[in-house]
Amino acid sequence: MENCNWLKAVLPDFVAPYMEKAGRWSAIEAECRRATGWVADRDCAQAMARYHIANDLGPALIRFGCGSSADWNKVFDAIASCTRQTFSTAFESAVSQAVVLVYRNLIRSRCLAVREAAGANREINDDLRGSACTP
Amino acid sequence: MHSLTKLFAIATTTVLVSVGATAQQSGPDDRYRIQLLLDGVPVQGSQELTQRLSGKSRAEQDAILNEPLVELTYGASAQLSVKVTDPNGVTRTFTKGNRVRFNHFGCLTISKDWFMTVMPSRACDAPEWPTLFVYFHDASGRPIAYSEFQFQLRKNQ
Repeated sequence: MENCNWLKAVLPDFVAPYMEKAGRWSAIEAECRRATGWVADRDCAQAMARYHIANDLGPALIRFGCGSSADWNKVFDAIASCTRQTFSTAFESAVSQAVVLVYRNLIRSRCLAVREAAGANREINDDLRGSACTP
Repeated sequence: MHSLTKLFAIATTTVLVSVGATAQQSGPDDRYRIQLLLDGVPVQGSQELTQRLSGKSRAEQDAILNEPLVELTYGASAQLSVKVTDPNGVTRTFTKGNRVRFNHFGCLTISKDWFMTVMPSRACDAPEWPTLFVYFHDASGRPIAYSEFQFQLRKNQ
């Protein structure tokens, strides 16, 4: 990573709401558990992804920075790799990756616009720069 | 892989596909192709996007992904129609009926006569990026194929 502390800062804000079932997470998960089958699976994945992006990831990025291009690509290469292992067919896996890539670009472009409008450095807060992670 | 990156990826994927255990039991038939038309104009869906991204370099993929999405205007309606091509290459156009069903995200509403309007009918996350899922069912009502379509809300709305 070019900026290890950036990811270290973003991660808790991004993950904690889901882990702690804050906001609408409990309701979303409960609704998803009621339905079964591949249609319900895809609808739920979309609903969860949208909520996660809008309420967890987006604000975390705006708070700490949108990340350098290199770090952004590295993180989402890893996500795509995980996604590849989840779906039943190669084509469906490829579709899911394409959708992830679309979201990747959308969320980053929004973050860059918001931080620029706020007069902040678009990529990262100055105190989070550097490849070495602080303990 | 850097451990933090890996953790981030796992967290994201956990959420995106936390229902993935059942997703592996059955899924759509990838041989079907679904094309969506808005007021008669084709819209690129996840199936077409996947084919365009396949085998491309990162730079080429970024160029494709940076292409503007179809913009929707808040409050405006568009007539939906759907073309489905089966594994034999036979294409049928649907403008009504229950062989094609929709699910929508991000403040979309779809009427019984297949008009899509950007207007919230329930809680909507990421309202600036409306998404439409199109599911195709066989004659017995079993879902057999799907594609998803991403839009962008016109700015300053």
